[in-house]
Amino acid sequence: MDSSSQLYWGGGVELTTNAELAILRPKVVGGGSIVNQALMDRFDDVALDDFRSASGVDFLASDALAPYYERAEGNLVLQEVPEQHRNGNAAIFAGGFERNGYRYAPLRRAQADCRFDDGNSCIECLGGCRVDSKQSTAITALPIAEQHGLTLLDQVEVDQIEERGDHVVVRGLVGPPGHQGRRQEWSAQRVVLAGGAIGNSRLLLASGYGGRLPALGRNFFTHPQFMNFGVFDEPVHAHRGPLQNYKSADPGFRRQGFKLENVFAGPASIAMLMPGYGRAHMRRMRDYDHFGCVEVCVRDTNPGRIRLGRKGQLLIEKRMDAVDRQRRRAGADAIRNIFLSMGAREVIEGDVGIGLHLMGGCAIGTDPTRSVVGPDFTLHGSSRIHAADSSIFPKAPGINPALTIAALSLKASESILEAAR
Amino acid sequence: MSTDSQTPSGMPRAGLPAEAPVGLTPAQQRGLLRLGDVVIPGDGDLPSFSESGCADGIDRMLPYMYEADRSSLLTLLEACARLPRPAIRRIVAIAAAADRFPEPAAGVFRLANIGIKGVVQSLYWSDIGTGGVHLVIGHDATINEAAYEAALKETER
Ligand SMILES: Cc1cc2nc3c(=O)[nH]c(=O)nc-3n(C[C@H](O)[C@H](O)[C@H](O)COP(=O)(O)OP(=O)(O)OC[C@H]3O[C@@H](n4cnc5c(N)ncnc54)[C@H](O)[C@@H]3O)c2cc1C
Repeated sequence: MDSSSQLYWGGGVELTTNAELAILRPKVVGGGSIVNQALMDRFDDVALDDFRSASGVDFLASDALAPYYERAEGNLVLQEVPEQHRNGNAAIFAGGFERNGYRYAPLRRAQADCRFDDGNSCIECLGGCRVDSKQSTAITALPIAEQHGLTLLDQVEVDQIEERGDHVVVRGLVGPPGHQGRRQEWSAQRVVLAGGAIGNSRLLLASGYGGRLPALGRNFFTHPQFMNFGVFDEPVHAHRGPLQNYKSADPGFRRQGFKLENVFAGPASIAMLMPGYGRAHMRRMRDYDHFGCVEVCVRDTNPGRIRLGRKGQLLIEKRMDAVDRQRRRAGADAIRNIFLSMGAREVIEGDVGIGLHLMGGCAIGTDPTRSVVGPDFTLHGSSRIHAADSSIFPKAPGINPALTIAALSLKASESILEAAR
Repeated sequence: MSTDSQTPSGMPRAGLPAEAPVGLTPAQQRGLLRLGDVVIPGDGDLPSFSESGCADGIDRMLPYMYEADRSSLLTLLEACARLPRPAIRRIVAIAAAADRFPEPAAGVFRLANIGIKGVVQSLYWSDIGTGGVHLVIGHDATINEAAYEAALKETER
């Protein structure tokens, strides 16, 4: 509970305006890399071809990005989640895929040594890794940046940015939780926005950039995810050991616009997802240790929009249209096949959709009427404000985004250093 | 919220909680227990929401909520302190069946459902002072930090 309250904006979740999706937006130094599952995938041609045609940016291609992917991978310890430690949930996933003739592959994770022989359960690492295995930026990039002179200011919420000729002014509130903030102002020759899809869009909208950048806040995607459960007679122990082992690698699933992964969550989150209330809900929770769990992650096509309400409050508009709902359905049907073929006595579809791959809002592109950031990672019409994170994605790739965010950030750093020379 | 914690555009401060300690009034506490017992009435060796003692944990949640969410929650809890139990049950039932209603009503009920679950279910199933609900359902996830610390010391030597 404490990690959810304290490590996420809104004290746990933010909801879309129609409450269809619960948005999980990390609020911690290191961002998503602290709380995420650290699964690292390169984008395929399907994703990058779409990115290129939406943006007109040539380097969004496998060949052109390969050196940046290599560098990003070189900055991490990457491991396939070890087979010998796989738990009952992973075995159900693999068995169900085999019985249904679906293709699957091992997941690759940024982890150094999870020390499974000590009995560790990676589900605990969703609140941050306590054995320094997860390759978060706190372990990788930040210490190196500090060696190069970075000064890190934590507990700062920036709310205004303004470009003034030869410098940029940023304003925000400083102070620890439980205290009213103190207003402070900083100025710099350049600013690189890295507040994520919602953070960057919100900051720029609140600073009045909406008028000159018509695409600001638009093209927002989340890969809506739905966890579905199979209830088994024997204990599954889905919470023990590695949390995830496998992903779908089925070309049919990719064509249909969804992917599947074995996953699980702690009791408080599972209770949120279980439909119903009262004694019936409690009886379901009694089966917690007998749940197999697979999530369907939708490659969403219907873009959302981040905007500010009349009082300046954040509004996240994001609806699943008929295509997106069909993608969810197709994934849920495949999960049902998997569970039933493995002997589940019941299949339960999770109640709440989750958005945790938050992408877009400041899309990269060549056309200033349809994008926010140019191919040089600089805001259209600006020479000193840059963006290099998930906010620049022009579409939903349908693949875990973190490695590509890192690769594009390396590419951005070259452009920005070049511009600064 | 003081003007100091407002942005120049009047945007409410999103990330950090207010300075004054945020807690429930006695009426709000009563409302939370009554609402909680409808959602979690107890079942055999699983205690009810009020029996579990988890409600005190709300003080660890409230400070991190957005002001608007917090005040909607407090209003709901005040209502639950006064409403007859069947009315609370009706609210919970409608919220849980949100998708059976047409939009935009469905959206409002979904919001209520997630809000109620987010507080009641999270407090109870986080097992803070609930006398071992994790044990009852078989959740025993751990990280062996002692072994890690010992290994670190070993490599430092
Ligand atoms: C539970 C979970 C599991 C995930 N698992 C995976 C996975 O396995 N693989 C994968 O590829 N992706 C995963 N993701 C998604 C991935 O973590 C994100 O896509 C990625 O972290 C986005 O990086 P980013 O730098 O764009 O933004 P973030 O990592 O969100 O960082 C943005 C930072 O900016 C801060 N910020 C925002 N606004 C302001 C402001 N106004 N002032 C000051 N600071 C601000 C935020 O607090 C945050 O620290 C997961 C996400 C979650 C939540």
